Amino acid sequence: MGMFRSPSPLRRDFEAEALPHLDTLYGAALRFTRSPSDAEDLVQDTLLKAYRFYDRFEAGTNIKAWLLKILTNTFINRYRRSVRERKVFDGAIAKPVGEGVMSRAAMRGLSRPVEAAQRRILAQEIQAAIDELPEDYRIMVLLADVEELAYKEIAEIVGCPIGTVMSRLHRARKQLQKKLVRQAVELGIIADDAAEPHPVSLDAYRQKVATR
Amino acid sequence: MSCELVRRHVGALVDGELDPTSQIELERHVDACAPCQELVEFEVATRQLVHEALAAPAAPAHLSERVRFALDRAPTPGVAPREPWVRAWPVAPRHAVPAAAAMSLIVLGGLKLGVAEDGPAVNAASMLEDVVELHSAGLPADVQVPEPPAASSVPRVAGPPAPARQRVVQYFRDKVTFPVRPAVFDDARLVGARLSNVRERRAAALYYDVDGRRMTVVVTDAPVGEAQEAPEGSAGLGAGSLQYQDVRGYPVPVRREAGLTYAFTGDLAREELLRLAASARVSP
Repeated sequence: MGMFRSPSPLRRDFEAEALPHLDTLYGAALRFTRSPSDAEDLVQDTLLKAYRFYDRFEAGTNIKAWLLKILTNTFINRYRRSVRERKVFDGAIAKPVGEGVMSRAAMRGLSRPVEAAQRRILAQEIQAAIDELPEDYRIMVLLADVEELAYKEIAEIVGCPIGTVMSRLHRARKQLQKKLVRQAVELGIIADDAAEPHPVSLDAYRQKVATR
Repeated sequence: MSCELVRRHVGALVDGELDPTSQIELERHVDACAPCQELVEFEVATRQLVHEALAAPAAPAHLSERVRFALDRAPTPGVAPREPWVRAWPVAPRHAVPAAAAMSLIVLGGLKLGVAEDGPAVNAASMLEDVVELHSAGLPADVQVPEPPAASSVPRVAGPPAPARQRVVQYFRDKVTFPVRPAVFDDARLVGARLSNVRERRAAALYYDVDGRRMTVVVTDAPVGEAQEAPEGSAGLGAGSLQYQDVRGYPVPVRREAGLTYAFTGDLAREELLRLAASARVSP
């Protein structure tokens, strides 16, 4: 029945505006849900919701951000899991991610252009590390580093203060960087001892020197 | 000291998200400090690796077809489908029995419920669905209200002690545009609260404990059946009335008080939830 109806102008507008962002939405949905079929469902739900409220959308404003917001909220409401996951992360990672423990040699190693084959392996490692993050953190990293949204937009989407976005991104990125360095050592991109942390105090440095 | 600050805020620095003064100050420091430059380069390099690694594949070809097909079956925006509402009035009988042939009457311990077969066309379904999702997701509270000291000899005080309630009020003060006043119940205890969204609007989710079962009360300034969803002039909720709708197996009573909408849902039997919703004290 409906299939043969000629689409209304509103419907045509919506398709013209929203469907060009299908790849973006699918990409975000895939990263959020980690499952191609869930991602498709999430994209479809998002676009149906967006269409339902399309008359509320202010023409001329950023439709991609609006769609991502609906997508993220739909995901958070529907797919988000338990409380414990985040608590563990907050507790466990709050301490070990200290400041300035990355060695300069390790940093230099990864700042230099990395060869394509190694890049692919690193990419797998990054994906695994992202998947290990608790959902709240994962959403933020994806919105910040893949979709490149501003902290304010992320805070609005996730419904938390900007300070929380900042501190969570910091922790999540530090964790990612640590894993990257570890992987880079295994790949021989950087030298073994380069991954060792800076001696943080003079005492620690002297001890290290003394044991050589 | 600046190196320390750069280390601590390198992510935000690269994102350009620090407050303008710090941003300028730290950028100036980085320009002059080789170790900090390396740190920033490293941050940028890993960011690029992450960006590349997560660059997603294009959507499968059939997805746009699938979405178009679903859109064909979707209602036109702004036209609300008629939802059967069950209306309840926790007030005197003169309000409770509109003369309508299609009404049946349920009496629930002092609470009279009129069942309207053809209620006002208020499409609150999507909003209430969010309320139910919020409850069933059981997301952690942003603010927790500590349990009052167990003193079994002391008679139960209605509602949480004022300072605990105050913490919740305080928490929402700069986060939502309306004053959040946690509902007070005789037999449900406020345990926490969370900033949330209902539809595209901010809402306060208040978590309660009812003898070990969870109840969520969502407060929003969006009227049920907001203008965009319901045709002009169609009835939203009148002040002081109670309505409910079943959403995905959860009963969701809704009250409108002092310009705010309170939606209740929980792991409770319908009668109990309706009774709680009707008994909630939500005025300041």
